[in-house]
Amino acid sequence: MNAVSAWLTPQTAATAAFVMVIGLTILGALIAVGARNIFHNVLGLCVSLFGVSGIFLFLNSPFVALMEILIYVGAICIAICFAIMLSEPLYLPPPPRNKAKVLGAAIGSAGIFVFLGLLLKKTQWTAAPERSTDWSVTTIGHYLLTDYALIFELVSLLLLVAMIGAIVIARGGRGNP
Amino acid sequence: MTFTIPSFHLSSIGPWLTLTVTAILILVLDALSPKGRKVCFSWLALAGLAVAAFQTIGLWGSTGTDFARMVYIDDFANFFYLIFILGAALTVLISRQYLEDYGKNMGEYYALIIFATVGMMLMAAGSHLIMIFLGLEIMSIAVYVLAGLFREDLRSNEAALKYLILGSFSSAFLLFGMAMLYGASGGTLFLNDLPLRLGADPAMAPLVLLGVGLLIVGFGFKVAAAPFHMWTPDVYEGAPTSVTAFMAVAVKAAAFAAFARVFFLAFPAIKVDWNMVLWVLAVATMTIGNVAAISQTNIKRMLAYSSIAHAGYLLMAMVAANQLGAMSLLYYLLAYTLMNLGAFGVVILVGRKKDSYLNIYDYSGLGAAHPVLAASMALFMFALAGIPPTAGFVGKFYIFSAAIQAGYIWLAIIGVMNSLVSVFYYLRITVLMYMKPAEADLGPVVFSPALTAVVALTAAGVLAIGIFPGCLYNLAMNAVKIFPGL
Repeated sequence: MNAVSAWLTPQTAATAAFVMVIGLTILGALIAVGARNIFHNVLGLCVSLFGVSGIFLFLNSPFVALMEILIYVGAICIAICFAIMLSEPLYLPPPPRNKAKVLGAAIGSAGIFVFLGLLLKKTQWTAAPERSTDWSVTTIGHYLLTDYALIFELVSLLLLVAMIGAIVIARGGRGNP
Repeated sequence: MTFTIPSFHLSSIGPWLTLTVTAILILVLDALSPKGRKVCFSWLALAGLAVAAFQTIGLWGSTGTDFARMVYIDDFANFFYLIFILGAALTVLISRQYLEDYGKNMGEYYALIIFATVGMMLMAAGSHLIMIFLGLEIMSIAVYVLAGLFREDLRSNEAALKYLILGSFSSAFLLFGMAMLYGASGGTLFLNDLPLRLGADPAMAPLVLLGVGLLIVGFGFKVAAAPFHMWTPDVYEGAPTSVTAFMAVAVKAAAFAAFARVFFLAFPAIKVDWNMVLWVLAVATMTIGNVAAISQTNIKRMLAYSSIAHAGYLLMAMVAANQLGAMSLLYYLLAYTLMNLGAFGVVILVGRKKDSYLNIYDYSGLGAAHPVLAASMALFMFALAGIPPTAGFVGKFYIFSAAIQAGYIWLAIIGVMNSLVSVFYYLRITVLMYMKPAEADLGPVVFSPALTAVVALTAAGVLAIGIFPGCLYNLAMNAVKIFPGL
């Protein structure tokens, strides 16, 4: 019992949780890129986004984590599923993979990974001078209605423009201009 | 729990509000008007733009920030407001006849043009990186849709799809760069605060450089700078001609407004670093644009490559990074708006029903058939090539002087050599118009009043600000006083 409690400190539990969410994110991302069936790609994306929301939870921002799940996993992945249903059927055999392209993509992403890794290693991270301790939804709401009121309104303008654009493009239906 | 709402004045974002209301009014009227009867949306759009221009002139001279420091009120923003309003108004004027030929004279078109203009204004006046990003997205989404307006046309579809996918990709780069800067500065995205915070800690330097590099990629895409210009020819060729004109002129101006404001205001301390990158980009952009334009036979593609080349000249003004350079950026963008929209007006006139005549050889013999039209096209070509006494010459003169003043002699020399290359393909149009007989009977050119007015106005404007640049010079010089680092 003693040995277990010595091993199971909050620190190790936190590290284990961190490794788990990172693993989930990377695993999901690999499925999203590597799978041949486009539906599996979307499921991989879902897994990866769950991992990302775990990272936010780990960083003590439950609200952002919740939004991540609600918007990205909930809305965006479903929207992608709709898009898949409207495009070409899944039972058709996928086109063969181009070896050169796969190799190029692997080298490219490995290069970026090494570059970012070196950069992160070279940077000496310092904590922000001021740090908020209050992450409640109330505070975020207050900010949205005071300092960031203009940005809040402009986001709604952006959504309006996107909606009008979607209607302009989609109106008239397929093959019936 | 009490909280105080920061004070604000709606008048400081008056032009945005007017334009937003105009766009929504157009949409509502379009929905309410009975089928078949067309409300004159173009006049409504022009009226809204005129009111916005009036409000901008009313704001002239006032300085400061508003809405909890989110918006700059200064003459730099006001100058760009006027460029965007001019670009949008001329686009609305050249659109009507063109869209009617395609049966696409819809209210949504004008609404989207005006929404895009609002986005551009946000980019020019935003004092917070998120504001600039939101402006960029509002503008981009409207323009993606406009590029794909002709749904039944495959090339228009291709243009919209390419622009959407590559554009979202570049927006992601921009946002990633902003995230890096947020981390490096310890949590601020205000342009005013960034230089203080970023300079404070040398340990963060690599992160800052990565952020700045990603911002260059994002803005470089929107202004069509060299390694990120791949989309430009296809999108400009496939999009409806009036939308191409709008993209070439107003979208570029907006991207340069944000580019200049962010780099001159937030990163003067690391000027040495980004100057070198922009130097390379400027030279590559000019050279690729001009050399590729030589072999084009489609006039829209040729103007697309020419717009890439002009982005290169404008980047040169960014590299110079002095008062004269910033001033020349403003002057050149205004001159470019006039001469390029004029050229596109002629392209629409000559292209006629459904863009039938877009090959440059269709211009042969135009000098004999329509002397005035050919003369104005020749004037726009001279202006784009930078031949006096047009506005294009004065603009290039300011840019090259700024580069020399900043010590970039070689850059100026490369710029001049590039201008010489560009003279070849611009003058080829003139030679075709005046010295070659017409290849085939192309039928009559229909001069609609609005298009004729645009060509006449822009031709007069190109000459007027080319011969009397002094007044604009003073206005622009005052507008760029806001950059203390220059």
